[in-house]
Amino acid sequence: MKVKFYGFLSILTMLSASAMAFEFKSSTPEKSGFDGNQLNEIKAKFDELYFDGRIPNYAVGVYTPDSLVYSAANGQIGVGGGEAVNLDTIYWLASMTKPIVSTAIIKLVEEGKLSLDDKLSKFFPEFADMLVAPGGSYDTTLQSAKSEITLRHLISHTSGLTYWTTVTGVGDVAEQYDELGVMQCSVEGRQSLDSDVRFLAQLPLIAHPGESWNYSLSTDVLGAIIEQVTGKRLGVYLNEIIFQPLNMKNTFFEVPKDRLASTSQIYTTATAAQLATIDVESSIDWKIIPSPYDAIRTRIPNCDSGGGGLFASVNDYAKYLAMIANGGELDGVRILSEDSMTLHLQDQTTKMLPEAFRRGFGDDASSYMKFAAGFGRKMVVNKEDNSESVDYFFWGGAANTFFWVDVDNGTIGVFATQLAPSLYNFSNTIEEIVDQAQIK
Amino acid sequence: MKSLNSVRSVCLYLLALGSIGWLATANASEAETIEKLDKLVARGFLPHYQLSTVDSEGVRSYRAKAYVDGLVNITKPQPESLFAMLSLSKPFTNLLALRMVDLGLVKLEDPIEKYLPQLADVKVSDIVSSVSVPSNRKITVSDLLLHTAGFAQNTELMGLGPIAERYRKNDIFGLHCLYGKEQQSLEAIIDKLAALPLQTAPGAAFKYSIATDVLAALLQVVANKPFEKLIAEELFLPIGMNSTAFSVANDKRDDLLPLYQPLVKTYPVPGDYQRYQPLSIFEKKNAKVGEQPGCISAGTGLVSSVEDMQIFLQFLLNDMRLENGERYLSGVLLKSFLSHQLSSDLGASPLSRSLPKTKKDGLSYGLAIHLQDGGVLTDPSTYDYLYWSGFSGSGFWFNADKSIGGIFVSQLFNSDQFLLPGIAENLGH
Repeated sequence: MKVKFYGFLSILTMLSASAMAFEFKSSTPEKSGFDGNQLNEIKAKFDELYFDGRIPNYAVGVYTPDSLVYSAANGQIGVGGGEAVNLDTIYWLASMTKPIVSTAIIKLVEEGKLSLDDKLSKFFPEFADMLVAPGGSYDTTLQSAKSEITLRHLISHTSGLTYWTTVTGVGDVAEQYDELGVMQCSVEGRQSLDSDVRFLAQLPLIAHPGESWNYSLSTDVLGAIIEQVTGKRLGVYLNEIIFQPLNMKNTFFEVPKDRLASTSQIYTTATAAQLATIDVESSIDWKIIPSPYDAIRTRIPNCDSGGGGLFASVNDYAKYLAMIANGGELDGVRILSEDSMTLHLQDQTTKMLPEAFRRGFGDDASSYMKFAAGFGRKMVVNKEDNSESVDYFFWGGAANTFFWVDVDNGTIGVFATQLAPSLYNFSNTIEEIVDQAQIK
Repeated sequence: MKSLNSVRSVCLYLLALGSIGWLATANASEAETIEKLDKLVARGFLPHYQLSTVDSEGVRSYRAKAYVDGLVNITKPQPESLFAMLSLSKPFTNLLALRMVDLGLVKLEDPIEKYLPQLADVKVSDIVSSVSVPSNRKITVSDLLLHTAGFAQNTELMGLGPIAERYRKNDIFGLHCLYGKEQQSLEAIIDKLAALPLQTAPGAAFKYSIATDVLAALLQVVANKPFEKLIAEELFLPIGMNSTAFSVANDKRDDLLPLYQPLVKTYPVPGDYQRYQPLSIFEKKNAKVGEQPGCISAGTGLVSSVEDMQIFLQFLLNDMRLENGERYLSGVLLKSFLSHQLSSDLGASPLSRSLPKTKKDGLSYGLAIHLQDGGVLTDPSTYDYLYWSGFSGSGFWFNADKSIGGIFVSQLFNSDQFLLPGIAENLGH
């Protein structure tokens, strides 16, 4: 009787699991209100790069919150061999890890465990009195930080932290990040997120908290806060609250050995100094060579980098974005409340003028860039009444992946190849193609 | 007034550059090309450029464009602005060598050990057995002019492989020469070089290399005069290139243009932005080539101006005739500077394994040769133009028969890796 009872339970569990196992419905552009011919420009664009040997492969999907509307892919996981890539191929997300970690922070805010106004020093007292080297330069006198770093600063890259020089770090401070292996989790004595973050506090900031937008290790720091508050390793926590509920089976910080055959290798652009190997078997004249980053595919991470450690498939990432586009809930599974979603997508940089974005986005985009909690927020100005509205939310990764979400019409785009540093971040171009293709 | 075949000229120049050569289409007019180049500047791909065409009688056109009001402040270059030639330095040393051959001071077939005895017993690296073996023939002066000696290029300046890496570790004609707090003499560097094996056997292959620097060390032994003094007196002064030198006097340093390096964002930026930043590879921040060379590098160390390059191109277009009417090189040697000199044993695309963009181009005693469609390297009448280019996106080209030449100057270090893809996308070709 007991045995039967347990059997019955497990069937129930299976039933409920399958009810929760979300998958996108297969649709066609026309059924979903798009002109398929116009969407084919996406394939043409990426095929051109692929057949010219500039990217090793690519997979791209356009989605609505419940359906796959359009997809294209080409190439194999490696130049000259391996599985053909598709929407389930595993790619290194790099900085596309950041929005997911930001969602986890918002979840903890919703549960009352955190507030965006919390000071970083509440979790890591070492950050209470920070010095600032303006512009990251050690040629100037160091100043005392005018205010403390808050979680809001961390989630919107306005903390004054910077990055390594390889990831747009600024000035002498960034060079010191490089030299000291800051937040690499591989230096002896700093092999946990916690010890790494405490070490980071010893270096000056490059700007006063809240004054300017500087891409940074802030999201890695948020990861350490999540570990402290939940008592769980970042990967374990994200798995519990996001990956499992959304049926994201191909998302992890460490690629399981049996999935390596489905994981794209990582390349970099060849130069005259580092020639591509001529592959006589291939009809493609490859202009890429294996990247030093490729080692991370097979590495067992000492800690989980909230700023760039995740791997995922295009389809998995789209599930996460479908939840975002759908107001925090997907197929009956609610991840965030509506209020939390409002907070998540709100401009967290309201007090900042375009000048504050100039270093991060250049002269042009600084005029319409804003930053939500973990997402870039591209604004458009309505010419009729001069009102501003959100065009789309977006971000990308260092190995040339990118995505956007248009929360107004619910369209989602995810693109992946593996080229580091990334040279083809056409997310704006692709978003415009999808926008144009929408049958009005 | 001469009829100006501007379309042709612009195409020539663009092809010469290689890295942005594909921009030119068969039908592009000069105006269209300038429009494209201006767009590259306006959209943040290039900090600035100068483009000038000349004929045998004088300057035909000059244009300069710089990014305006950016976060990275860019000074608009002038014809007299001084720029880092980097690899554009090389043909000048070769030309001086030919002059000295002409004067009977040195022979092209001389083994280099005659002047640089340190290099007498240099071995060849054997990749298969990873031991070094004696070379089967001696390196000649001619090998130095043609990059067939078997030397490598320092990895700090595009070199690749274990030998190139040992050049880097030993400071053999690397970044240190472009800016260095300590001075190294050419003799001292050649001594260090003598301890390392060759990458390939002499004569076996064209390998873009530090051979030009070795040539300079050799010429200064032949002339018994410091190389920088020798080239100033025997080449730049007679031609009238008054701004071209290895180091720039204190009062001229404001004329030096800074170098830039690509800036790559790891996140997508929706609009245009300055895709470059000040070059930060030298020991000192904001150091400029020409301020404090750590060695006299004939292969990469010269500083020049567009004004001087206009003079040089006119000199080339006038059969190297000097102001006093004399010819700088006599007939046979002049011809050797203008026609293919590599052995046919090296194949139909002899440069391409070392410099992939050169495809079927040939090599004279100082310049690369681009062929007309269907042209052959053995027939100079089928040459399209001769050219040379450098690692900062600068280059010059000329065609003496058509009396046209040009110089393009930009100062973006390592431009070829980063310029191309972004341009392809953003100009919507």
